[in-house]
Amino acid sequence: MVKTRALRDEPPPGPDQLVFRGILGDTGLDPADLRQAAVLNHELYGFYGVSVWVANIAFPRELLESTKLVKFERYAEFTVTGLTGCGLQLRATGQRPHYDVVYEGNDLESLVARLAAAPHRIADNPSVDREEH
Amino acid sequence: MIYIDLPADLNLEDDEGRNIARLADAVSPDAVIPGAVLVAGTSRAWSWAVVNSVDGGFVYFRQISARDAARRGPLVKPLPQSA
Repeated sequence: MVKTRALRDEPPPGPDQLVFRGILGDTGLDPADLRQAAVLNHELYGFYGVSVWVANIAFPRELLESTKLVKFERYAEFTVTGLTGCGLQLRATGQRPHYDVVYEGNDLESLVARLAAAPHRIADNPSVDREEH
Repeated sequence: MIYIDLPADLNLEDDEGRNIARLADAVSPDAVIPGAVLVAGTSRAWSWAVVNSVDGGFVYFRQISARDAARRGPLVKPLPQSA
């Protein structure tokens, strides 16, 4: 049984705000990873969504690099405009500054293809925490 | 090489700020119980973690430091031993 996802009642992020997603593997923004993330979200909450972090005054890049992204050596950097220009939407889910990237119509393959093709760059995380195993 | 007990996407958080993974994806699902300490993530993005709850086939966990992991006790499963 799927759970109800908490939606934050707040204004949408501005067009120039930065959107980050930690890279899971070796190959950059891998469609297979995006698909797997979206499917898991669907199993949990009943909609296809891919988790991202949206930077703002309270959560600037440097803070996100050392907290939410601290375990990631690299992350993908988008802009809100870049995502919405691909027909994607940002849904304010969970706790700030977590969002889900979603596609209208809840279509998995369209979400994955559009997110993978959205303008982005891969950034190194200078604050990555490489703890010993 | 990192030995991952619980494959997970550390970008994903629930409404309480916990990470989530599928129980079925765990290397040793039977050992994934509340309080268990394990390594969650992928080979390129992983963290020590403590299991908060297991519910409906999903594992809810929080990331912890290596020091905290060592303080809490043994791993879910010992590291593989060489012959």
